[in-house]
Amino acid sequence: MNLDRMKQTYFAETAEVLSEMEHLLLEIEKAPEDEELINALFRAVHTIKGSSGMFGVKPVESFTHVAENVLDRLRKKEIDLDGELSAALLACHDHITALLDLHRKGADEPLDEETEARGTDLVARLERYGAGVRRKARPDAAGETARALGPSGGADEGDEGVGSANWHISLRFKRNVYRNGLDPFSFINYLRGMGEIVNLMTVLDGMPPLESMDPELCYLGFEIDFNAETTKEEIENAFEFVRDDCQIRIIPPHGGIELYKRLIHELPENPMSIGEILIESGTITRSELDTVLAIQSEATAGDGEPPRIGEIVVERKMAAREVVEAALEKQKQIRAVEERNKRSMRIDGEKLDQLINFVGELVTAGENVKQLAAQNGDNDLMESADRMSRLIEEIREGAMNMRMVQIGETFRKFERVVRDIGREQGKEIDLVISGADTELDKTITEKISDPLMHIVRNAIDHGIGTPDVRRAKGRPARGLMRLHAYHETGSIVIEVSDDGDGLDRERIRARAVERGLVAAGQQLTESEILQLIFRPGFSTAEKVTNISGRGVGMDVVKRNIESLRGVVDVESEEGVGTTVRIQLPLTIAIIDGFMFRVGELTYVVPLDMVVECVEFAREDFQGMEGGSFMNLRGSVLPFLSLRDFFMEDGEEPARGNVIVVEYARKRAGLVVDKLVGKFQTVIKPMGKVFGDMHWLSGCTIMGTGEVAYILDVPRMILTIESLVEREGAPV
Amino acid sequence: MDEERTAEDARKYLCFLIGSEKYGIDIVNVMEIIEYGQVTRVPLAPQAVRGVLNLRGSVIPIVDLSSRFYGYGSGITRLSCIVVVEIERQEERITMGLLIDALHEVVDIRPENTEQTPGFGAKIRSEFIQGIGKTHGRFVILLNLDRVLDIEELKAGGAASARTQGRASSGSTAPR
Amino acid sequence: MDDRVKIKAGRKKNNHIAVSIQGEAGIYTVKRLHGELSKHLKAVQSMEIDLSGVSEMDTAGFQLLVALKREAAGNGKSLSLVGHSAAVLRVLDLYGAIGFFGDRIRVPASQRDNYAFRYGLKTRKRA
Repeated sequence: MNLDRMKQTYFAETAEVLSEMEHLLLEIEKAPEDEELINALFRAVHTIKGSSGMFGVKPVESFTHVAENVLDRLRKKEIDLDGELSAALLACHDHITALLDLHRKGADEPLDEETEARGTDLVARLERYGAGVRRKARPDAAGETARALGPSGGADEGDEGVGSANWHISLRFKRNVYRNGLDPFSFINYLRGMGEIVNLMTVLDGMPPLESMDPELCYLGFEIDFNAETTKEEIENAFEFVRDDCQIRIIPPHGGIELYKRLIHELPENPMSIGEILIESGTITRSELDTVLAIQSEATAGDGEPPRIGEIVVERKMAAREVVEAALEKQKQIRAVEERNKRSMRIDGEKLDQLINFVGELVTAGENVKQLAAQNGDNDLMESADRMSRLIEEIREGAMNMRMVQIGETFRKFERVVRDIGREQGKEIDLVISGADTELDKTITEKISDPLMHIVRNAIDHGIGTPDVRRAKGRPARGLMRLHAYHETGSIVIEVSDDGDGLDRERIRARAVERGLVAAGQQLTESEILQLIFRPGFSTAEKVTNISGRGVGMDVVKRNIESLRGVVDVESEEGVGTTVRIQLPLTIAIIDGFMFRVGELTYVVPLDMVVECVEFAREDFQGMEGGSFMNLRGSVLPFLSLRDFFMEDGEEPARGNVIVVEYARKRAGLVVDKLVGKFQTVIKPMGKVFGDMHWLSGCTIMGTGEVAYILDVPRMILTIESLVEREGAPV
Repeated sequence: MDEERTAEDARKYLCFLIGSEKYGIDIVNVMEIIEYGQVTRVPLAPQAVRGVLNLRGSVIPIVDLSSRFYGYGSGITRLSCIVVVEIERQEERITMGLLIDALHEVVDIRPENTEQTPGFGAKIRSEFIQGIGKTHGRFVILLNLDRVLDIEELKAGGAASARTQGRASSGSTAPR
Repeated sequence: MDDRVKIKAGRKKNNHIAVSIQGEAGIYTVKRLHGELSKHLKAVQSMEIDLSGVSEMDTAGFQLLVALKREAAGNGKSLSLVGHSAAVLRVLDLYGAIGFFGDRIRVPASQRDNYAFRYGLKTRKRA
């Protein structure tokens, strides 16, 4: 259970890092000299390798290791970044993504041939850049696990004096080791028969707090200094049975700088003081550290800056400079990660949902208190209820804010899409992103990604021509795509624009007639013609013209967006380009509502869609029950009587109210019986039974415990439009 | 909860009345039973859906079994109850309330005392019936809740949804 | 399954509770131990665990004790282990955790040579 959750975190985080990696690669293509980018890229890959190792995702770990080596050389300027290498690295990104996917589907399945071959091919490509990989002799042998840091491979340069006279054994058991019936105790205890355990440190850094730990999983690591007349092989043999469930690193006596450096880098734990690291690495003993610490406090006692521990260690020649630097580097990395973690932390989505639920209940309870206070007419009580209400509103906003994320990350995915699909089709396209910091509900970003992909693909496929075609029309050879986001009246607007040829209205109309969507002679406005591309049945599989393909899946896109209570619209000018505009609500859990009554029932519309309320006398509307136009201070407004719409019998009040609502630049009037006022509305789902009732977008519970219904304003506006359109335009 | 002498494989059923007929549902589906009250009508709702109920913060639909079975709604009396049930559909748990005319009892019925097919003409559609159980020499119709509460059918059920659809056109034609 | 371990809890008094474990403290019982001991620890300010009845202990059992100790220390509570049985001691000793727990340990002189009591576990001694 717990491991599962941690693994989920691993997947989520790695996916994030992968997306970062992709972004960096694309940036580096544009600015190959930027050292910061290359460093960041190295760190990203290093992180993937590290966490994959920690979670025992071997294929990812070992593959990433190769890429990391190349990046390390790149970082040290031993090699240059050329187009080929950057292509190879992008391919690596894809391969890692694929490996992760495979692992998620079935952790223990061997790789399929295709993936295996692609991996081998990539490794070969990378080796040209001096990846320095030991070729895997037996691809499926379990021997991989024991990554002993033996004195082979020319790693040790003459560095006598470093490291103790003992063997150093570093053990990290896999989480499942107990469950697999193995007890680390027996293996470590076995060592006693071979020699003397001089020192053993139990490393607890990987251990979660009591409450969240799964006691059947192993969180422990061990750093052992071992004094014995023995060989590396013999020590390895002691751990033979636990091989698959343990990462073991062995440094022989007087192991050498490089080995310690690597060990420090490879140990997964954080933050330990450098002294601890040096001890655990067996570089120095605790008493040596004690001496160091004593010196440090002496230095502090005097005046001036106390020298850092690392420097002291070097001065006294207890450790070689490089080892200390490696340790310091590691510490720096850990710090950076910590800093980042401090700024933002990962929260279980479920916990957040739960919190929002509670906040929802709190809002309802608060409204209740307010109502009761008003009924009692107790001024003091009303005042404190008001104050509480305001606080609750702030809590609500804060809670909702936690779900808000910037759209930028979603946009960034398209850098690659635009580049790749463009290249495939021989098109040169620049992608300009703006408004990346515009925030919206995380749930919505997840669901909007696919529709956006459709739209972007369509625009590349059919909106933007090849350089030749574009030049022939006297336009710049490079096409331009724009992803733009901004806030507008309680919603977020996302625009996808291209500077292509624009939609050909005659062709759309012809196709719609051909598909039987409109009659041949039917009068249609410009925008109505454009709207046809969202109609089911408009799209076609054959991609003969620029236009036909653009309809592919647009009805699906529209449906997906509407299911998020959003609307989609298209504008297009021939020879200038096309813009698809998506408008979505900011949140989907709690909104500010405006409450009113029709008959004996209560309804809510989102407050930010309410433009104004107008009182009127019933007789003004006589003879126009279904819906028609009204004159609102000289402008024409289509309206609908909800009393009629809901088929309420009962006595009509003599005077009613019109609520003017607006969404996506369209207005309409709703005729209601009585206005109630502003209401913090916690949106509750209504159950699938009501799925066909399109006017309804959910419900909410009032302070009294009664249920009020939330109108789906965008759909209502469309309904009213279609009703009045049939009436004909007003004179 | 005091009888523990029945055989282990007997299942418990909650029995209730709809009209004059006695029906039973498997008690594993029953979450709770509450007095009828505070059901809010949903305008233009499907016919068999009486309304919704605020059940400690969750809003659940209330299905009128009389309407579902016989085509006419229950009159509310002081014996009317709501049985809150939970069914699982496509890995999703759906909670609904059933409006019934009166609670009867909880009985144990052993599988061998259940007949798969009704031996007599039942008043309700046969696919709603899981079997006929015998208890104390009397019969009870055991309901197949999955079918009785079939979402697609409930949605389409009755004139209500047709009315919603028809509304759009009647709105424009009425004034003419 | 259940008779592998018995967990007995005394009465809660002055925010203190004494618990004893009899039987195995290992992978087969650690889930139950984790559940019950965390529950007890949560409810009090100080807890004492009598380990004299522990017949077997493995790394999972050891890990649980460490987690309990850390939880207690992290919340300003006290957790003490008493009556370490031989099965417990050999694990604590190998893992160098005696200092970490900081409890008084009684070992008969005749058995003293069986243990190393040497190295520490992160923190040497608790002040």
